[in-house]
Amino acid sequence: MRIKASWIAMLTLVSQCAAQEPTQTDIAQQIRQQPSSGRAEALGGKWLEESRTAAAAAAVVWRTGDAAERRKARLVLNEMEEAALPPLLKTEGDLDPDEQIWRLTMVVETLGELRKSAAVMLDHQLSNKQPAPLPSIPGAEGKPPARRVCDEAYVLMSRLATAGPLSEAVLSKMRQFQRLPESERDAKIQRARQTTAWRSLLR
Amino acid sequence: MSDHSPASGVGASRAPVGASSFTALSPLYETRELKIAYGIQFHPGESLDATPQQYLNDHLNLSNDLEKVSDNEYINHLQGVRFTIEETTSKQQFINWLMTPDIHLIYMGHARYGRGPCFGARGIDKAKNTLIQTEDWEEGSDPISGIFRMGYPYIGIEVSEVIEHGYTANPMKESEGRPARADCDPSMRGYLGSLRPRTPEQIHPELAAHLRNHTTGDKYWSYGSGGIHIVHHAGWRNTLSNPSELGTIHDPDDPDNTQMKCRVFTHLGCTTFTHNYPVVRKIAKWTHSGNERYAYWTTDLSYPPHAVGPWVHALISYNQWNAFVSWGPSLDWAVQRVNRSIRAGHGTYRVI
Repeated sequence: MRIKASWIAMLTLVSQCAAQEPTQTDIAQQIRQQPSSGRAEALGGKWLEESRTAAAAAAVVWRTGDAAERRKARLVLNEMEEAALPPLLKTEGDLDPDEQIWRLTMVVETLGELRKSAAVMLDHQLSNKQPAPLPSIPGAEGKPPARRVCDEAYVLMSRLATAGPLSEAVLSKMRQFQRLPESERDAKIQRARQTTAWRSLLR
Repeated sequence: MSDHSPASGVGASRAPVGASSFTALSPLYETRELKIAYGIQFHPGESLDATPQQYLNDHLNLSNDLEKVSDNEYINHLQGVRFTIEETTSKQQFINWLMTPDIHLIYMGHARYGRGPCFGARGIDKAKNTLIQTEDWEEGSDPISGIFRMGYPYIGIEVSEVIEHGYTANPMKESEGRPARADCDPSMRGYLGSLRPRTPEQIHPELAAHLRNHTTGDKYWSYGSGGIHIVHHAGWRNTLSNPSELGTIHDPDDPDNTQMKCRVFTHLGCTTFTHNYPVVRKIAKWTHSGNERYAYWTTDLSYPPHAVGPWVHALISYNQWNAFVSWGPSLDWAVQRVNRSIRAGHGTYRVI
């Protein structure tokens, strides 16, 4: 009965969330009304928590429900894409092997889909040659690189491809690229776009 | 709220910064001293974009869990930690803080291309928006100014920097032989093959007047064509600046008896992960151990938004119980938080 109650509570919660969904006007007004940067950041944190409520409740049912409820909860979470990741990543304790494997697969495949989406976004911006100059500061140590949107997209493309922490080697490569003349940066970007690894990430 | 946390907003009596009397906060609450040493440029009233106090006023959400006692004292009941802030622009005070156990020392200012934190009264003439020419950009004019050295032995810098800052430089002469690759800052290693000895006149018409111990006929290692770079003597031990150098307070052969006793050292100058991290962590072997010797660096030119305000904010606003336990979790969280803030302000560098 307790599990049934949690399932019903989750459905109620989700329906309440849907019923109270703010309009674009509400959102814009709340953002405008924030009196400080700290309050704006806190609003972002509050909305983040709210956006995670339904998936967290669904994950409770997936872990604790009876077989039929768990199956339905899995179907729910399975459709929630990246919104399902936080509770799945935080799930602790023993899981049925099939559910454990589903969880691992769901997380990794969803991250893969996000990674592909990020790659597509970056690939579009690799053609964007709009200048994005950094401010000139008296006394600054070194002239800022004459960067363009595509240059930053290239640097981020490298970070996405390597997916590791910022190491001395990675940073050194980034700086070498930023110091190149524009034509050489363009050539590097074009070569990187044609690599098998990048093309396969976009597929 | 953490399971370990006491009730939020406890009605504790508090003493002001510096008071030694026992208060209701003791011994449940830990006091963490944040010491901020500002360099010759980018300090409050000079050209810092926002002081930590201004940043906190705009970003810190005060509540029963997070109290502001004064501009320089905050109590986070979720962490169980009372934070105090003290600031200086003095090199000697910076050195004293490096040697003070249990504190978190933050340096905000120029990295001097890796030479080390650099102190002085002012770097910029605000009225003219131009650099002030002074010896404080290098050796300093008294014990509280100039560079505290923590760099590679040799650092290549465009010669115009010497002229614009107006200090006396100590570049490497041809007669000293070529610099070894391992002794060079990573930023100049790609140019070692193109090093050429040149006379000061061949490098820059005003350079001769800015050289230490120059003798007619001396040639200096240089590279580059448009903006010629010269190779400065820099280093971290046995330098011209002794005792203003890391080697005076830390011996890599005896790291257990280091005098660099601060618990955390955060260097927010430009590109310090490249310039100083390898020297301090790998060569001098001031390494992390247990709850001691944490260090943080920047990945690139640390243009505005300056990180000192966001970093202090991140340290204070961590929301898990953290008193009298490892500082690691709160520092890990602070790194994520400060980088999120830098990203929001269009900053291109990160703290790592």
